[in-house]
Amino acid sequence: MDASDVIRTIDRILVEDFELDAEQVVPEASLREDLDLDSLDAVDLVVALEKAFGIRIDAKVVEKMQTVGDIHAYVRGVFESGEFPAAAPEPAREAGK
Amino acid sequence: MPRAVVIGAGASGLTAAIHCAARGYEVTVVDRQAHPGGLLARFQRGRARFDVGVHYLGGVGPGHVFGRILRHLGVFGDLAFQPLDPDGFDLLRFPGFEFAVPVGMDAFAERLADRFPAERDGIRRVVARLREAVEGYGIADADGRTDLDIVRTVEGEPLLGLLDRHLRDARLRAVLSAHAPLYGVVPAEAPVGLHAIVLYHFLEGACRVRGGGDALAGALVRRLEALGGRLLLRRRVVGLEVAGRRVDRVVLHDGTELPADLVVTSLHPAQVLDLLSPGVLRPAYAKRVRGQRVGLGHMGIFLELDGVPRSLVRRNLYSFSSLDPTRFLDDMVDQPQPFYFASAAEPAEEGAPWTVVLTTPLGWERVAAWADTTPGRRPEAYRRLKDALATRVLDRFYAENPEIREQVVAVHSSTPLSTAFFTGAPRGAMYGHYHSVDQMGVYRPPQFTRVRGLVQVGQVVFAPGVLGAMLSVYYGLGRLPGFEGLFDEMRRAG
Repeated sequence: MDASDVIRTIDRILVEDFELDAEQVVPEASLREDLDLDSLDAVDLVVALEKAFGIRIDAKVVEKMQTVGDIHAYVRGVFESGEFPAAAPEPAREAGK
Repeated sequence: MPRAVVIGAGASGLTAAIHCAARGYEVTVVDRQAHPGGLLARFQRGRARFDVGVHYLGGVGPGHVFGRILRHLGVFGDLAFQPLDPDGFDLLRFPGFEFAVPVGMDAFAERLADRFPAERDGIRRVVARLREAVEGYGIADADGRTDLDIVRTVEGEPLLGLLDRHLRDARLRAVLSAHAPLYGVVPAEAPVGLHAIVLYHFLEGACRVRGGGDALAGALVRRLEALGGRLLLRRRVVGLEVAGRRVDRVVLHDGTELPADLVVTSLHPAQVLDLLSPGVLRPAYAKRVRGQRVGLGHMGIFLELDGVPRSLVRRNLYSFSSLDPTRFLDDMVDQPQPFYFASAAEPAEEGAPWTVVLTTPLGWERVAAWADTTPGRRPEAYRRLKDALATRVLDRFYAENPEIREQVVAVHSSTPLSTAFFTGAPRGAMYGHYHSVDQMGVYRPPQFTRVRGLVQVGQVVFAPGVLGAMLSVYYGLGRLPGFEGLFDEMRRAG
């Protein structure tokens, strides 16, 4: 997934799952003032991003983000670092091992 | 006077209703059943009464979590408690060995170390982690503080991972995960935090309440009514109206509208979505809540006796046919000899019989074909399956407890269909949500939404069991203006 795919996917989530106007969803848009997203929405956003990208995100990081551009940068950063935190729980193991 | 409507008259709904009434709300509790109590309520066959949801409680002594909640609610003095055997309140039976769980975290750790001396260090580390988890929730003592960083960590840490890291003996790992089936999560997916609370509150001094769940529900209802609250039974909620972004009123199936400044609901959050007009909550929230796995189903087997079940009078039995914790929640279709839990209840009135309740995992999908039928009208095929499954569990129970076999005069059984019918829980899930590591913490359906004045309580949004249901009220309601100090009052209530 390249940088533009990441941005497109994030913007699509904001438009479809948070019912925002596509014209509003620009990198400099403020999540709180312009888009009216609050801390409850932040948790929904974490879950939606994790699902879309198969990564694990610390909810506290998202709560600190100010703009749409911050979200773009964070998710791109995760991909560019090459370290994808596992989204799945630890697999069950057999007893006796 | 501000008005509160509480949806659901179970453990969490009644707890919330009492606190609302005590803080000046005019309270109406709505429930679809004819009797209050939700999963606390017993059912009756002849003179026998059977508990469906609550079979024993944690400690109710001074400083104990459950006791403090009951004192804070003002119902403690209205109940009579029967302590279980402090030297072994739960008998854990595995192939080839047994372990009796004593009261007290220290006594428990000491008995484990005596039994598995080579693992003393590992046991110490595991017990320290469980204690740390309990302290993180801030419920262990009067000066406790909830530490969200600890809570997040222990709700995301799998129990079996912790046990595997520190313990080598498979028997020891089995003993330390034995309580997971009671809250319905596979030990590989069970959060350390949840396991710690469940184990800790039983270790404080497991007991039964005389008269069972009915007595507890009755005491809560009397307290609510003494505070001026009222119950509206046999009413189904069909709508939740919002004005601006605030709750406005609750609509019942008969057209009644209940204006509300505050709505507390113990429904599954997915069901709450169905009550709201489309568009009130965002698609992201709806997807998240509807995408969650609900909890596992259970079969209940209810025995009426003509004697006293000596082996179960002061202790419960957890019977496992495998030492492998990953198989603890397998139901009878996946495993011929599944786990079962057995608990007895002393009659609360003269001349009534002792009863024994067995519970065992049973997947919703085993009975889903009959989901459209109702009790009394279920087809013969369903009854045959139910009888065959119950017989399998009973055969093993009787082999292990031959003296009780001679005392049984009647047998009844239930499946997830029964739970779904009587509680309205999706897929008949006794604990609502599947409280696994990947569905706890921020992943669990939330207590608050964008709709102001709406609070979600109950097992789903916090933790399973009567303790989880009641604590959800403190973690939810306790964060609203007007309810400041609710948590601290409870912590200091004895």
